[in-house]
Amino acid sequence: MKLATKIILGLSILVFFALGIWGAVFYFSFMSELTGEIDDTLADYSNDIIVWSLAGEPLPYSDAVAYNTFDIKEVTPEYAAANNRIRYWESITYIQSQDEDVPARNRSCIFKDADDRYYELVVSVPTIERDSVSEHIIKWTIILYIVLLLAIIGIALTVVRRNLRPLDELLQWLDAYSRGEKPGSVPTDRHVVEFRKLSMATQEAVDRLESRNEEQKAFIGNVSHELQTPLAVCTGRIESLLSDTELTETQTVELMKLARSLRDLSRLNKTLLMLHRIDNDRFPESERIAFLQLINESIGLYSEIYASRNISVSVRTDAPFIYEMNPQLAKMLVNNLIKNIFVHSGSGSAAEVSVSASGFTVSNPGDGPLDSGLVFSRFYRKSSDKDGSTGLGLALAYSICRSHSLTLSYNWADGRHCFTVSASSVSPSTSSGQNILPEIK
Amino acid sequence: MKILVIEDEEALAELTDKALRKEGFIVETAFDYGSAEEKLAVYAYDCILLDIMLPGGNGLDLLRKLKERGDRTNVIITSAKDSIDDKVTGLGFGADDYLAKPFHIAELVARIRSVARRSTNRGDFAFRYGNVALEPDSGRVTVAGREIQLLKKEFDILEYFMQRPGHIIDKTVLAEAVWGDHIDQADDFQFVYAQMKNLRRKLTAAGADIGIKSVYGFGYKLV
Repeated sequence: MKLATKIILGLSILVFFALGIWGAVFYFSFMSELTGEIDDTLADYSNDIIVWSLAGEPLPYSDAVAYNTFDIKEVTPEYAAANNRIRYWESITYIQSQDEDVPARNRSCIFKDADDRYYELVVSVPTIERDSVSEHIIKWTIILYIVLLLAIIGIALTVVRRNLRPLDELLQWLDAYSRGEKPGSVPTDRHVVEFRKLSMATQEAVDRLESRNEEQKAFIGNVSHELQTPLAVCTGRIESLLSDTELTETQTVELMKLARSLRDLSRLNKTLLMLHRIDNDRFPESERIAFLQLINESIGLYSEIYASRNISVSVRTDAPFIYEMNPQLAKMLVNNLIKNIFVHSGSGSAAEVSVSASGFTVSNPGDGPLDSGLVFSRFYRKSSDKDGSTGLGLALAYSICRSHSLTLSYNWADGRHCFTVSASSVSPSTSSGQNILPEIK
Repeated sequence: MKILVIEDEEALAELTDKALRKEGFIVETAFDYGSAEEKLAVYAYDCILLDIMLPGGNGLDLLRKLKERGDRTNVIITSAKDSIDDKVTGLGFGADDYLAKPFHIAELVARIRSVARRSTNRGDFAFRYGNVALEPDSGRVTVAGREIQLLKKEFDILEYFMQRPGHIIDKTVLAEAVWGDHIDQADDFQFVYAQMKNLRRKLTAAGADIGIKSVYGFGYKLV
């Protein structure tokens, strides 16, 4: 549940009950006030009638204006003693002037004349008006209630949304950041203390993370850089030993094996250094690269090197893929992907490269899908891989693509590994020079 | 031929020193900027191996000063930085060649020879061994004065060997040098064998008194 929804929901429930209780109290107190007024009228009226009756004046047949009615009847002293109090009640009463039964409020009291005879007086007043007022009040209270409820929710919604906007921005920033984009600096809200603190904390955490990351990368870079010289020294010493004519065959062979292992180490180290340099954008030169040509050259090269494996590669061209990037890296990217075909396909198998305007796909038959989450990570290797492969080739290809806003993806379809390099939605071949490295950098 | 090795890494300097002496050069070493500057001011050298990152200064400054004096000594930059910027700057300052660390000693020797040959004997860039001469610029190979036709890869292989006569060359190193940096240890070397077979056949047919000998199944040697 979103925070705004939660706040609005809580507020609505609270307002719902508060307004409900307020409406009920308002209605009932208003109605009791109204009834009190009617009772006062009834009391005045019955007092007038009692006064007129005791004074022997003729009693009015009824109140023509207010449609009040009355009824006086003589009662026994016992009845009077038992009922000597004023009673109010509601009933449906026949009002003669209107000639129908209507809801009315009644008042009864006992009085005594000069002859000690007891009379009971019942006066009635129709409450049609009160009921209609009551209906109106109920109607308008409910309308007011709904309007208030909606208005409060609406206002709260606007206020909450508006005030939580910095939080939304921060969350969007974090989403973008965790997707691996670099969305610039953390958005800050200068007005709200809490948001400011949150932004500052986020910025600090991100900065710390970035600097750790940088340190780690720099460390790997420095280590591989520092390893270069000792590796060169070792290789050189072996070379110089190998030119010694007094060595026996066994010694020479052992030395050559050692030299090969050292060369592997050296190659691994060079690749790590290369990854480090790609990640640090150390390849600023760029030009328009015709990938089709690179692909054909690369296929030619590896067909020669792996001639004994008899692997055929067909190239299908819908449109030439031309992209602005560093020529050295472009060549490395193509070579890595094409070499993969030759190294990881069985003898005699048929691979395919298809080139379109927006990228190219390299596919070769395989035994089973690779773990697509790991395939581009460093040192990912299948147990069937041969010795001497560094496990860095695809990581390198991935780094190259990322540094040039290309996408490298892997999928497994119809028993084939497919690696696809594609340009982002905007075709960079139409834009010029350095500005192909957009804000995602 | 007198060579100054300017290199702060003592092990590497010692190794280079030893290898170059073995090749018959007179070698002196300097481990930092100061002593290198001193040596350059006092003595004259035929070739200088210059590291860029030096304690006490930048090798490129040393190169610039040298060239400002009008010194025509050959300079080969050896640097671990392996960046195109350095290479371009270095060559722009008048260096004769650029070799990225780590390098093979044999490669270094070949470069020194090549640079020296260019400065002393302009026009004749040929590598000679036995009765075979190879001109890297024109791509011509002659055996006892008669030209023979080699394919591109065969030529590259022969050039590599001609630069390193007498050295054992591992076939993986050869493959890397000729086919580029795309070779893994796991690869089979049928493609090297095939080219090698043709090259040997052509050399023998032309009556060359040199040959490429296999060494223990690991590599080759030009004898």
